[in-house]
Amino acid sequence: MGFPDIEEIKRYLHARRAAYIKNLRVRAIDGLILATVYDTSIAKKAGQGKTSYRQLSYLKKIIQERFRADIKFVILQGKENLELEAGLNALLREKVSDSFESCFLTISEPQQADAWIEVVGIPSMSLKEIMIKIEHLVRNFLALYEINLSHVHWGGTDNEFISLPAILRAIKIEAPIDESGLSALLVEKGYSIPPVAWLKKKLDLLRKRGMVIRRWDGKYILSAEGVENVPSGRIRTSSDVERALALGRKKW
Amino acid sequence: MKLVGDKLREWAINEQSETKADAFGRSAFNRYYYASFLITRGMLKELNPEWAKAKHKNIPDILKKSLIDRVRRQIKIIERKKLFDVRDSSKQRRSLNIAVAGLSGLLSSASSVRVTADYEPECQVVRAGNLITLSNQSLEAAKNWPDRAEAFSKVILKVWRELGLS
Repeated sequence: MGFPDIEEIKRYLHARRAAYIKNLRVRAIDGLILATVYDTSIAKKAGQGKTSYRQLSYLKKIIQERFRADIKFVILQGKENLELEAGLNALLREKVSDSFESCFLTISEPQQADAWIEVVGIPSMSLKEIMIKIEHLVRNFLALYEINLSHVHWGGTDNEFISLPAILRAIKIEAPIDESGLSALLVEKGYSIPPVAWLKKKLDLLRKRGMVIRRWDGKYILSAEGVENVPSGRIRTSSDVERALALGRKKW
Repeated sequence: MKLVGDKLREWAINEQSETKADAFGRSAFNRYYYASFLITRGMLKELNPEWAKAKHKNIPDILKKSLIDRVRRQIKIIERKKLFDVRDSSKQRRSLNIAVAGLSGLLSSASSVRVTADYEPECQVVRAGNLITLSNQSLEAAKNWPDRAEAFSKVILKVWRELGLS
C-alpha cells in the first residue's frame, strides 16, 4: 500500500463523527496511519460520543477498502483513568503502607473495574485480613466515582486455589507419590501449603472418579483415564517431558 | 531494563537542553517497551517455547489467538470430565480474557510508541513541567507498562497452571 491521503481520511472520519479519534497521522517509515483513541472513549457499545472495539475493527476494514490504507488504533490510557489510579495508589500507600506495593485498574466495561494489586511482606497469618481490608478500601474508593469493583487480581501472594487438573499433573510427574511428597511438589510449583485433610479429600475424589489409584503402600499413581486427562505433548514444558526428567532424576 | 527507563526519564525531566531531553525521553519509552516485551516473552517461553520465538508484531496475535484457543480447548476437556465446576471455568475464562486483552493491547500500543521513539525523530518529545509526552503518550503512563505486563503475565501463568498445562 502506498502513502494514503491523510486529509481525505480526516474528512471522511469527521463526516462519520469519529470525534473519539484524537490524533491521526501517517508514519513516515511505512505509511501506516496511526490513530490515537483514549480508553475512556471506549465502551461496550458505540454511541453518545463513545466507540467500541467492534466499531474500531469495522472502521479499520472500511478504511482499508475505501482508501487502500492500513490504519492502527493506538489505545492510550485516558487522563481520567490515570488520575483515578494515582488517587487509588495514594490512598493505599497511606492506609496500608507496610503491605502495599502497587495497584492499577483495568476498565473493561463502563463503570466496571478490575483491580490488580501487588502486596508485599505480609505474614501468612494476617494475609486474609489485610486482603479484605485492601479490597474494602478499593471498593469504597471506586464507589465515589460510581464504579463497581468486579474482581481483585492479587500479586505477591501464594496461589491458594489448587485445582484438580494441577493435582493430576503433579501425580503424573512424580508417581508413585505419597501425600506429603505431593504436598511438597505443589508448594514447589508456587502453591501455598495445602492442608492435609483437604488434600486427602481431593485425592479421594479423584480416586472415586477413576483417575487416580491408591497403591498398597499409600502412594498414588494415575489410572489410564487419569493419564488421558493430563495435557501432554512434545514441547519442553509438556507433562511427558517433565515426567521423563523426573524419572531420570530418580534413577540417578 | 525498567531501571534504565526510570533513569532516562529522570534525566529527561531534569535536563536543561531540549535536544538532550528529547533524546533521553524517547529512549525511556524504548526501554519501558522492551522491559514489557521481555516480561511477556519470558511468560510465553514457560507456556510454549515456540511462541517465545515470534516476532514482536505477532505477539499480540499469539496471545489473542493461539493462547486463548489452547486454553479454551483445555477448559472444555476439563468441564467434560467434571474436574471443574461451571463457576471455576467461568472464573478462569474471565481472568484469562481480561489479562490477555490487557497485555495484547498494552504491547500493541506500546510498540507503536516505541517505533515513533526510534524511527521518527521529527516527532519530538513534548515537555510541560514534569510531564513528558511523545505522540500523545505520557511517559508517566509508559513507566507502568512493565508492572502491568508482569501482573497480566502472572495471571496468564496461573490459569495455565490451574488447567494442568504446566
